[in-house]
Amino acid sequence: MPRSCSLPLLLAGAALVAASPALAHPHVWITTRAELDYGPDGALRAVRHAWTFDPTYSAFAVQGLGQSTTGPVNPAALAALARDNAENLAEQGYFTQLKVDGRKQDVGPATDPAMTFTDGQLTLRFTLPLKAPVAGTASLEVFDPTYFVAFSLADGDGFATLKGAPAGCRATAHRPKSAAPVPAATGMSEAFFEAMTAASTYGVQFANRIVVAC
Amino acid sequence: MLSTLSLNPPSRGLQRLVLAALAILAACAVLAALLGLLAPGFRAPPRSPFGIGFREAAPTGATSLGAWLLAMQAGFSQALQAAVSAVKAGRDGTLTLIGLGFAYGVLHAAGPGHGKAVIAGYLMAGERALKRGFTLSLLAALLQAVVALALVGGGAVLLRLTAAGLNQAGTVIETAGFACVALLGAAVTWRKAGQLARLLNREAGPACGPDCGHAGLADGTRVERLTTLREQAGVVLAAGTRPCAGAVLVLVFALSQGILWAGVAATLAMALGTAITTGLLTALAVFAKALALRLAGGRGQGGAIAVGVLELWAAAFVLVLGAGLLSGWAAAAF
Repeated sequence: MPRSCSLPLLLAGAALVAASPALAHPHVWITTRAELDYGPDGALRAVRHAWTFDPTYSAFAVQGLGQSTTGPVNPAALAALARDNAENLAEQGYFTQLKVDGRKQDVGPATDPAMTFTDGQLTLRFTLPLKAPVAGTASLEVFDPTYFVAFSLADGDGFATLKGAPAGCRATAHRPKSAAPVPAATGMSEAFFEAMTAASTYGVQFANRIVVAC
Repeated sequence: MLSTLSLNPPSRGLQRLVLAALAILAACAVLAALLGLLAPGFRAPPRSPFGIGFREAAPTGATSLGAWLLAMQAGFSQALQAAVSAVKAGRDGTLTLIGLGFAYGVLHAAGPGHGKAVIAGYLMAGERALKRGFTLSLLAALLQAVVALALVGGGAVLLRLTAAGLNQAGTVIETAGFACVALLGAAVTWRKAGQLARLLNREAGPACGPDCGHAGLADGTRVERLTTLREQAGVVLAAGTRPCAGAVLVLVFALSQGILWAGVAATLAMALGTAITTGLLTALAVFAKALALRLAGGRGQGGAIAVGVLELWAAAFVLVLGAGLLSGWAAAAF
């Protein structure tokens, strides 16, 4: 029965359609700023992250932490949330990949977690100490391989600050080409339409990288 | 199940079990192949610390179509947020918000989702009516919206749960939904295995005229119809229990802005959009089934058995998918 061969084909086709390609997309947008902390010997010893969440996720995260749905948020609850987040982030390696002179660096558990909520946006801060401080050209990438969280570097020069770095060290941002900036929370912006046309470069999200050369 | 076994000759019951087991094995193989294709590594991603209580499917990497959908959806999420703010600010954003919600639903449903797999699998296994398929898609999408509304309305507004509390509630709801998928798959697999066993036995037995085996048909049809209704309720539950993260987020955001109604409007619009996309997939499944029936038509017993095998396999696929989701095995792709 040559024609019955189309049945398995049909099956396979139906299965493929049913299990339509798995595509996650971000539900959380984070703007990152990093402070690279150098020791007196010129070795990089810690990275302090400051992650600002988009207003929608911020609203979700502080849900129930204030007196009313629109009221101010309890600082003690924010501190607890910061601790929880810092702990849970360990499982994901803090979404952080740090290399010095091309070698991957291990970072210890996060310290000094803190959280602030201003103008409807949440900012999480925590420090990642390097297990072994090391000098050299540092490359810092922050990304979520599962795409649930979309990270992007803060605009302008805000993406990185150097603390106690040897003279002559400079941080440069390598941003994805034509990545759409997060639209301002007010009104429909051009960025929305840009995001649609710039779509094919979305995967270059991974190219968010800070390089500090000394 | 036990009574069925004891009422039938033992060989029939055994045959039914063996058929079901074979179908489950075949479904496992296909699901494993799919996972290998879609999510190599078979590992469910760890739950994001910034997650909202239920998993969203994992990526396959940034293929061009995938990247396009990703960026579209990302653009929509942000535009939704902007539209809620516009409504809050008193600018006329309500229509924009509803339109965006609708479009978000259409696109979101084009992404991952076990719900579509459940509906398509069920339709392949049994149904062939397009209208019934559309109704199932619409009801599942509406249930999804209602669950999101209940989660935020009950959890956030009434109980004043924190994000962590909402996460826990979300996890419970998700698990219940996966259990529904597995139960539905088990029920349909068992029924289809019985049908196939009867078909196979008839083939071995004496030739059957148009009237044979029709005794007690009226009663049988009523039982069948009841079973089908129960199964369809199961399909809606299985496909629609897990709420969409986008809906939950827009609801909580609207709530924080003091305009929950705007979030409700957006969520309902999303459900309609979702129903359109799942409806399209439904149509595909129904046409595929019709094609299978036409190919099998005129082939007598052999054709009927081929269709029976297809149906049993599709049912087993739903069962394996449910078990995979419950155990986290299939979570890598759905």
